[in-house]
Amino acid sequence: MIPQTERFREMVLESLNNERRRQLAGQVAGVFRFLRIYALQSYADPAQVMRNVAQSRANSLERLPELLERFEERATAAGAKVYWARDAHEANQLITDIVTGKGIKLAVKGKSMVSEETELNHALEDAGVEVYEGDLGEFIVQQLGQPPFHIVGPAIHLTAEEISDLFVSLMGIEPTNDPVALGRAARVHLRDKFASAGVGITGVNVAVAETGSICLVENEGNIRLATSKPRIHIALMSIEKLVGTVDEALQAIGLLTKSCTGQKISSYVSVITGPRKDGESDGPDELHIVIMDNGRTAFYQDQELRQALRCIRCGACLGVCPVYTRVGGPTYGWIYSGPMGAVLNPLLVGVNRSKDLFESCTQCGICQEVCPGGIKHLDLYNRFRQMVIYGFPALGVKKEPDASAIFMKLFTWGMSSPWRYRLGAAVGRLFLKRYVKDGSIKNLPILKGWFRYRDLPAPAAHTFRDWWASQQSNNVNLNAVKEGSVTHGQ
Amino acid sequence: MGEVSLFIPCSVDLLLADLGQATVEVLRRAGVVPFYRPEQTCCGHPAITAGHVDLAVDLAKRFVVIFEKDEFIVCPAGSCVYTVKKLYPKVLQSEPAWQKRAEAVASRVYELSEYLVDVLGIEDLGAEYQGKVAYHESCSLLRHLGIDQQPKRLISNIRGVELVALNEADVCCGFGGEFSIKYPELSGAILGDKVRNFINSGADVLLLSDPGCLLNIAGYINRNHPEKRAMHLAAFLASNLREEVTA
Repeated sequence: MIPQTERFREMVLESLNNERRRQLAGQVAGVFRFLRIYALQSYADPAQVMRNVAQSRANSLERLPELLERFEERATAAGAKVYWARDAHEANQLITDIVTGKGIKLAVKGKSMVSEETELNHALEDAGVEVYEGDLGEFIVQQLGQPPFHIVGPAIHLTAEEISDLFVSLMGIEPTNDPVALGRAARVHLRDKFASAGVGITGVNVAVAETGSICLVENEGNIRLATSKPRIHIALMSIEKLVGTVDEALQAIGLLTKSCTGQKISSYVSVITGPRKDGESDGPDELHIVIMDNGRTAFYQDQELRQALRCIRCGACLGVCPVYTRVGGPTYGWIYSGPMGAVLNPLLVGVNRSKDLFESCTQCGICQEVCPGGIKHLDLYNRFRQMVIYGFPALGVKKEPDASAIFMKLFTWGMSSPWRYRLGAAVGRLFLKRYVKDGSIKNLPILKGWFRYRDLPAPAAHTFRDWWASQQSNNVNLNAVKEGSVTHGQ
Repeated sequence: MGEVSLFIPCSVDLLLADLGQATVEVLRRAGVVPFYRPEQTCCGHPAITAGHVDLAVDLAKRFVVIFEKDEFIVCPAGSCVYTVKKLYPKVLQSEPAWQKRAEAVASRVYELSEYLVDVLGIEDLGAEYQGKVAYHESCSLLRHLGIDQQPKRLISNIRGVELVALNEADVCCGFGGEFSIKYPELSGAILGDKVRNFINSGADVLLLSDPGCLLNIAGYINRNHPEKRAMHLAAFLASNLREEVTA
């Protein structure tokens, strides 16, 4: 998916004007939000688990170079082949080389965000390989040529009618709005692809350094099938997926499924350590693991920015964000949406071009409250804002002329001395009072955005400080007056 | 008698003086003596959240100098308390001596309902209101400061009042300072849903504890539902206090 994060503003308007999409975004989020809270109650102490996982994410990132080396060593010892890719292009090249090198013409895929990040499907198709997404929702949007609507519900925006129309033309089935019948049709259609595919390609949810294992979480069984039926399994992962131990991996997975779909655990959890060994009944002959950086080490060095890599892609933040729940996923212009996208896209796509993602935040902080990684979104957004204001060459962030900078300078200058404050207050209040009508202000030549939806109250007859001063002179005995204890100085 | 230093946000000073007066009245009813330091201006919240952290350094230091000697500093605005408690340490992080002083002051800064309930142990101020009210959980209180029960206790102890359930009470109202002006359509969509939930709750008055949410929600209600009201909790309490019964 080609990033279009710079189109956020116009896409917000499109989404808000699309009544069906707007309602859907809210409903989907509402369901996931509720299910998450319900599922978390299965822990004796949910808050403690969240702290543990957040700590594990932090520790794992701290030790990342060491864990990556350890993982390569253990996975190789288990019989896997490990590859390193600096960027999306290298990752795609490595994978297409493996696939075409074996003369494979058909690939099945498990749903994977990172392969969307690299646009792997296009690369494979360009190399003459037919690619089928194995996840039902992902398969539907792939066939329609659309981006996924939601991270775990890629086709959740489509009606049964729309899916029926697609399947009629694709598979020649009788039209039906019965979801079970549609699911069965897709299953039959895809089963054949799984049976004849030369390679199964998946992402990785968590990788374990101590054992060299990769863990995959899903509900439909397509990943289990993609990693066992074809002779070759290729797994693509980004560097931050590592944890140290199996215990840490299982704890993260337990919290992932609860935070994501509100399931205590997903229908399938696959833990894969190397290809099929002698005497084992299933598994591929070859396991190739491609570990990709794609811009991550560039900000890994920065302690504050590094926390973005704590994200485990659960999407809990989507379900609660007041902005995401009004506009939905595609508005964000890239695969990562909501607060998750506002944290990752600036770092992976570019801070300047993703500016509206982190600026369009109400600062409510609810994303931080639900984040299993313990990411402090508001700190990151603030840091991104500073990068845009001052420039940040280390990440190629350009300083941008900021219309509010002059206002903020004037504002803070005015606020830093009592007499300037009084003068500004008097002028400002006089200005406002000119526009009062029927007890409130309905419009001003400034702050247009505010008045599109709401009024301002008429300023009170006097400022609080004037009222206080008049009270004091009326009755000095009533209140304790503290005097002379403070003078402004630094 | 205890004394408390009033931390009155600039928005309250300049636009909502009645809310400042109500804060004074409520504190006096609670039996403490408020005093006001007129050197105070703005805590710098808008500049900090816009990313102009350097511009806020002087404002943070001013705040420290002005309030440093006060034992209890009380404010009717969650977001300004949040600024002092959570944002100043970051604003001053390159100057550890100032940071330390700021943290010391911050430990004595209280949001009004927090001060009344947690410090004074007062949950009933002697107010009376016959009717239904709902309570909006401002993000600054609920999430940034962890204040949720205190305002609700003060409300439920108002004689005659019925505190009705508000759907999505803990969801943001869409204010977000600069956000409301820069992304009006998004802010308006979120705000519209908030007010719809309030209307559907059947309450006459929506109570809240942050001037930002108040300007946002009351501004929308004023335009679209003039028969309803949104009020700061302090203003509501002050306007419904029963005659003083104690001698």
